[in-house]
Amino acid sequence: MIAERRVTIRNEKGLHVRPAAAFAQAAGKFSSRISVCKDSRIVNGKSSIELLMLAAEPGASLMIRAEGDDAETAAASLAKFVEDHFGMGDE
Amino acid sequence: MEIRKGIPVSAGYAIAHALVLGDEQYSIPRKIVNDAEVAGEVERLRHAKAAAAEQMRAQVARMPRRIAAVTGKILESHIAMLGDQELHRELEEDIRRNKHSAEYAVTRILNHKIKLLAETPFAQRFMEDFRAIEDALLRQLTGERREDGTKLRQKAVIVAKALTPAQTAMLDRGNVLGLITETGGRTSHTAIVASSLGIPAVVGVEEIASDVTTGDLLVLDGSTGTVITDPDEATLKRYQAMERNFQVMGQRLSRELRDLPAVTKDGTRVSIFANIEMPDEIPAALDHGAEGIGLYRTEFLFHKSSPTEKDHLEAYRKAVSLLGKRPLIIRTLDLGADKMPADGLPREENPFLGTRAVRLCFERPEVFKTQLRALLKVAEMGNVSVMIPMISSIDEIFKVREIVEQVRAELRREGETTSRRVPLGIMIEVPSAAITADQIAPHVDFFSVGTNDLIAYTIAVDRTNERVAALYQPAHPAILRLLQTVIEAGMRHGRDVSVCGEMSSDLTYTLLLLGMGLRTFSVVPPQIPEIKKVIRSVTLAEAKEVAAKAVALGDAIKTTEYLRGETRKILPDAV
Repeated sequence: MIAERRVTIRNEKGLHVRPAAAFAQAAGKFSSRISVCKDSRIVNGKSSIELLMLAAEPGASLMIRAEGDDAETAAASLAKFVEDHFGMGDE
Repeated sequence: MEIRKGIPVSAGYAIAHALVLGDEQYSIPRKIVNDAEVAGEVERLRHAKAAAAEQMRAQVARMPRRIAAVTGKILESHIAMLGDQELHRELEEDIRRNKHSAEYAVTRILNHKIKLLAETPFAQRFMEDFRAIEDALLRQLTGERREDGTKLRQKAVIVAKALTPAQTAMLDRGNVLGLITETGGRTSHTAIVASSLGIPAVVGVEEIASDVTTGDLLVLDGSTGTVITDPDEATLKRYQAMERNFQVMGQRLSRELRDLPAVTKDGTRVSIFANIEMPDEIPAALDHGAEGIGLYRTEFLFHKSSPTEKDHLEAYRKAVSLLGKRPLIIRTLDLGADKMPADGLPREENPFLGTRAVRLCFERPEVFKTQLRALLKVAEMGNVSVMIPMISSIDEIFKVREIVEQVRAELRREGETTSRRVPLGIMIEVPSAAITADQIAPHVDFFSVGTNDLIAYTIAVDRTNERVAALYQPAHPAILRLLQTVIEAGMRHGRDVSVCGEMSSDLTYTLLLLGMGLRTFSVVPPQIPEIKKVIRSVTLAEAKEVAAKAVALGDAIKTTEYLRGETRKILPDAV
């Protein structure tokens, strides 16, 4: 199964160190392979270091792609996580 | 000799040699290993990652809570980065395929990433995080200690372009005599930490880190923001005299007051206790005139994943032996689930309103019982009371008592004597407990108000968030009303009430709290002499009048200004 979602970074500081760690942790809970893609770069969504390398500033548009048994749930829940400011209020 | 000016952020003088941080870089030569060594290098890498993460975890656990709120989160992200699977895969591949040594792989891969980050303005801010990871790993792999100010061989003034929050928090307090940075302002982290540790500091001194080299003699005046490099003989003498004078004034106050009771001019007796994090702090606290320990935070013990009963007992025994018959109030575990070492507990959306302190103890009874066993045992040896943090309703007190009784029965079955009744008190830091203090009072032996959290929960403000930090006001009318409620409830039911939050260490509020009826202050040890001095300078009637006026103003800023004015009449330079 493959599922994809396009999301926009909404928190004020962008995809910085803590959101990246939180996203990687959330992604790690799914069995699906998670990739995150910005412009032409694709990285492993379960790696906070790779996510930082995307340099996703506030307002940036990302594509979340999940491949595996729980792809649909994973893509939907991770997209929501990003839209909800990575679960960290307004940091 | 050259005189420079910066922004003064923490008063006091320092005359010492400079230690310039951050001007050295590891230089790792390219090293190829042979096939037989590859597995060993991968193992070294694995071990270095684990050891670096462990060290950071220990640092987080050791941080005072107000520092941990900010820098602890940064370190936790670094710990997560160290455990990154993708990074590990890349490093391992570099070792296996290119036969690089572990340290060369680390420096090569991370520097490659740092270069990429440098290309995008937005990503440049992550460069220092990646450097921190590289640094932590290389330190483990090379065994080299780069000077970082956490353990100094001699006393020094730290000079740096900028200090990261983590660096400032970890400085070797005993040997760092002063701080000078090029960046930063009055509200910077360096400023806040320096003044809370009482280390003289000047920030915003241009070019200082490049102009000064380690070993240069420096004079720092944290009251005026003056930094003098290469001072001449006359200047040095002048500042040495000023430094001595500054210390003598502090010590004289301390010596004069140490053995005098904290009593108002008309004879009302007040007790002043000290707040500590480790038994080692007790001798200094007593030296400042503490009558006992009003808050012994035990979180330090939990930097090991879970302390054994023996770990607890050793620390508490030491405290009791240093205190003799003086009172010792030990607070049970006050960490959030987010601060406990990884143990499979689900992550919480909002840890501040989540499974913290006593709530965590209920969820992890084995952890709580281990601590209670040690507490009941040590209570047989000294004047020990137990304090429970984060109580929000009466039920929790009943539940705690039930667990205490279970533990007591368990100890008796094992043949231990636990005959002494151990006073059980609670922290008042949740508004629901403050508001219902009169209902709670009959069920506990004492209250201690933790103003920091009480203010945060009441005004709904995180003061480490700069955008709302200004809303954090100890003199907010709501806070004063809650304090009044708690103090009066205690009086009516004959329960001792103390304030152990920062508000009681701040001289601005001494007259207010005294006038409101507070008779026990639990404070940071260096503040004891001055608080005593304020108390000894007024009658109770005068303090009551000040408190009444302060409350009537009904406005945090006006109240604070008024209280500062009244305090300055007693101690002109105090606030």
